[in-house]
Amino acid sequence: MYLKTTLLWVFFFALCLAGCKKWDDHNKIGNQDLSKTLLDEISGRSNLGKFYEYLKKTGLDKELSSSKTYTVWAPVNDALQSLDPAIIADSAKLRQFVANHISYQTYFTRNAQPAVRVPMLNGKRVTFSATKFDEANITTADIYVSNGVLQVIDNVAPVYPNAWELVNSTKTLFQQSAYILSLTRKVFDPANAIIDSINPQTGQPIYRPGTDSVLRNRYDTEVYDLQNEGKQYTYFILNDAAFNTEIIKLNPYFKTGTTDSTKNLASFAVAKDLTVEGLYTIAQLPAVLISKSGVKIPIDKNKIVETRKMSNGIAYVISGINFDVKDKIPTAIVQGENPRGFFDANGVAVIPRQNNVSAIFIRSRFNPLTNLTFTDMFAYNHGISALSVQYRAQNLPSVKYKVYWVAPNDTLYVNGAIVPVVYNQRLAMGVRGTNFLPSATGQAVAINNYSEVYLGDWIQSSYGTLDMFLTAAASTSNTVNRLNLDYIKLVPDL
Amino acid sequence: MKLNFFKSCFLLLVLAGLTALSSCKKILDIQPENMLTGEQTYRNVFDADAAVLGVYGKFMQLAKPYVLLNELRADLMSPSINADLYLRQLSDHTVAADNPYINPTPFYEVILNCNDVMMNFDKMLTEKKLKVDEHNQRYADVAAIRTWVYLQIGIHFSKDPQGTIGIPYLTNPLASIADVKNESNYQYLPFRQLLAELIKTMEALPTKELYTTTTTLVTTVDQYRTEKFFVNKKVLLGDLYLWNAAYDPSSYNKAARMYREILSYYDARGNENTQKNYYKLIGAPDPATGNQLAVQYIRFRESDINALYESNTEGWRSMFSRGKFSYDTQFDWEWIWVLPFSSNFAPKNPFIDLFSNVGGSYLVKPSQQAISNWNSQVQFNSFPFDARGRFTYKTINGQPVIMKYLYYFLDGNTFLPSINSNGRSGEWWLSRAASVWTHYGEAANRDGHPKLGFAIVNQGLRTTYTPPITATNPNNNNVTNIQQTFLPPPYDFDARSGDNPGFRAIWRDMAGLRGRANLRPRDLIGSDSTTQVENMLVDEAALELAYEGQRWSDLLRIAIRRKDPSFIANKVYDKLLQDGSGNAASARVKLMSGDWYLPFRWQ
Repeated sequence: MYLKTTLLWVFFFALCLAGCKKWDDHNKIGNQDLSKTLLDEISGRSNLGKFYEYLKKTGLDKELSSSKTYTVWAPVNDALQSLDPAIIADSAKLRQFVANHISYQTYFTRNAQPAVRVPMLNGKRVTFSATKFDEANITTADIYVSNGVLQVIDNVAPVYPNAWELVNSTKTLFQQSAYILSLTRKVFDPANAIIDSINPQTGQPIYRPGTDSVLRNRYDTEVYDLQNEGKQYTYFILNDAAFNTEIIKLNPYFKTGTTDSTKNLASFAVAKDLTVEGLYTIAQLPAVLISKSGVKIPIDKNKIVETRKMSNGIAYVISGINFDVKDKIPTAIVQGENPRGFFDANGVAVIPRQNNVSAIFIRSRFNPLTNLTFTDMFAYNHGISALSVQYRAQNLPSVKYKVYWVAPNDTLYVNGAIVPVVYNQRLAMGVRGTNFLPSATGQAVAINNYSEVYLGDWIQSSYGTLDMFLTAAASTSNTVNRLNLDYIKLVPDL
Repeated sequence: MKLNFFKSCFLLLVLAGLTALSSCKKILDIQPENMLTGEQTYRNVFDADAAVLGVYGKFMQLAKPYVLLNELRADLMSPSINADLYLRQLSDHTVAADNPYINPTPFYEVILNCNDVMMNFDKMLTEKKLKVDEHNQRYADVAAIRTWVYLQIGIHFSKDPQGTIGIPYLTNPLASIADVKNESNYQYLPFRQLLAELIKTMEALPTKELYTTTTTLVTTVDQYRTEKFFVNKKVLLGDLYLWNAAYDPSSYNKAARMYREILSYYDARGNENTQKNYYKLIGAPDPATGNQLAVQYIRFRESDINALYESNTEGWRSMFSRGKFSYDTQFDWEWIWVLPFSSNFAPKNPFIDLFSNVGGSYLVKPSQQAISNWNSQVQFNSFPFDARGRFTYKTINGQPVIMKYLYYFLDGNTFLPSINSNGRSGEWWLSRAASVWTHYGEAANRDGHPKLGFAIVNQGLRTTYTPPITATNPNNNNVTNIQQTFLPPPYDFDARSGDNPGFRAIWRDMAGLRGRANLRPRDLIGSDSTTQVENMLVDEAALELAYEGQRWSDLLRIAIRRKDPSFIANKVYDKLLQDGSGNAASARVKLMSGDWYLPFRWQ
């Protein structure tokens, strides 16, 4: 009887144990070895001894035994033999190098189909595919341990500079790099500023010196942020001869008071079209790429003298690029619905109102010629003789322009339909009351005319801002002093 | 001894287990403290009120399926990039049996609830727990809700695709939805017979009026008036007649009579302003203020796009936003039936999740077809768009977002979400003056009065019934004999407005749907005005009533009436084609064959 009961208990516990085992299986994922950390796994593999040594040396071994998850692409000892001694000697560089092989989160080879750009601990990204890590082959894949994944690779993944670092390191080599660096300015940015006090007179904060500004590069803000590791760029570096050839070509269109500022403007006009988004290997490079500002970049592969790998793309040093000037000098359009100000015949700023009601109408309209909707400005019954409406074109290259406007002069509806009449309006170029296009008497504005009307030519003598004043007849009669404008178009005559 | 100890331990354990099990039932079988048993309900009029509100609470769960089935299946709404397979199926007319959006169970839950409440109300009457008048008002209300739900099921579902078998019709109280799945408990009715049954029920109701204002149900709860909570029985019966007129043309007149009773509800109530403004679809008779429900611009600046009245309390848009602040006079000019959603009580507002890309899942969006409908209209100031489109949807973060249900939650200009405790509130928009006018116009047009239908679509009664100036009619200074329809009821309107002799008739400001939206009138071409006016009414409803849950039924009703499946098939085809759906052609083939119904299956 005793035996029987004991057996019963034994059987019962056995059942429990069996059950436990089953539960264990139920929970198991893959073939993860929970007993080992990444560091254990690396130190246990003799062919990774060198890498383990560098981990210890850089202190990254502590990181790998923390509770986060990582993926480590560990190069074998043979691959590390040939590592530049300068890197080994410099602890910061070595840390950068080792961190270029470690990422947060787990990356299995099955996650890398198609290839992914994995963000590494040093902030760079490295391309990881099912069989390769950068240029190295994966020899032992997907070793899954308690805090991540180990991938063994047969070569190192060098730390490439990003485009910005490349520009910095080549500033003495290429004028183009020096020029881009010269675009860095201190700009006001209160985001991280410390407020010392508040000015009792103005109520404005007084910031602690040195905290209220940051360094920004115009290239990064207006073209592409070359430091962005998340994107990939194809970046062309013109050698000095080619860079200067292009600048000289553009100099006439950036006439200013000094040769220096002209050269600066022309340089920017050249440099802004030398970066495109996306990585194009030599084989993939087409004959023409389009830059961010829409300029065609003609590429002659024979002129590529050097190719440099970057952590965020690829750079080509080229000995010549033949931009078409017509692409570089774009057409300017100034919209009628964006007036800057209103002036009477004496140049006094006015607010055109009558009976407390604005006489400037911003209208939505349909253009039957283009089948598109547009917005225009119609000034009606404003009661101001020779009313001028100011418009401004900015950053206008110095060249001869053909000037056009679109003035539909269709029916306006204000307390009923206002029957359109032919009236005259003119465009003062540069200064109010002067240089009228097409003439001082103006242009008769045809009724229901949705097409562009050629007004004449304008020579912009220097690069910069052009003010234009749409001017009404010198009369207070609302049948003759109307103004209407969809847009002004300035087409470079090249 | 040791042996016995183990043995007894073991036995004890087994015994304890058995006792525990057997006592479970007893332990759990206590009276719950937060629920009522059968005997505790239906004791007096307040219990009856609670039962009515309970029905409405359940009914509000149909808000989401109602809007999705009526809009996504039709031509104005499309699934967004976030939409799941099932929403796409609804839009593409390729629903699979497992599609959760075609589950009829929530509809039948309301119906069973109604049946149960109605039976108990009758019992209360016999037991003298309710007065006759108390009983009649509540019974009729619940019966009307049931009818409304049946009409919806009938429009969308059938056991067979062609609608010959129809849907289960049951008027007996059944204990649970499980009983419904036993098919011996009820019969299937096809749509035509269902309509006949529903009309019979509605005609036999003891009252078709709203609750009298002295009723305990008409009150204010948490700042919400219950006045507009309840289904309008005349609108509902009008709709039933309008559907039924496809089979019995004499129903057009009956429908028009029902609708007219609503439109004229305020003709003899309140002061002169109430009489002329309420449900009268007025335009902008006083352009000095924007405090009206019309598309209007600041006075004398009507050609300036920046002068368009658009805020929570100004202009056409405000009918969807002003209720957030107060159910004011203008709100009541338009709205007939709205049910409020609040963050403070259940059920939860389903529309924010459905429509908003800020604080929601953004599952559906306006179709390209709907957008081009609005953008092909021309306003009186020649602006080439219908401003109602810009009020109905907004582009937020580059995505077109249906806004009609979101103005309580999102700011209409900054699109920032409301952060107060009742921020996720909203309304279920069910019936308003414009929807009743559209249906009234549809009935009048088919009842031999296309000019009246034309007036409703375009510039209203006064303009349409004012003769043109000609050589023989040099002016219209004396309006004594003009500006009236001179038709028998329910088509008699006096819209005179003139001096010497002076007239200020109450219909004078009725602006028409396009007139109120500042849109130019449409022209009649050729002679078949009935079909043309009907098309105009349907087109106008797309602009005015988009996403308010009427589109599919409007299209289907006319397709049935004209015996022309292409009417509905082509509209759906155009939507799918413009949206780039690959199913445009197959959806057309399906709808052309008269296969309009969702497969009825209990889920």
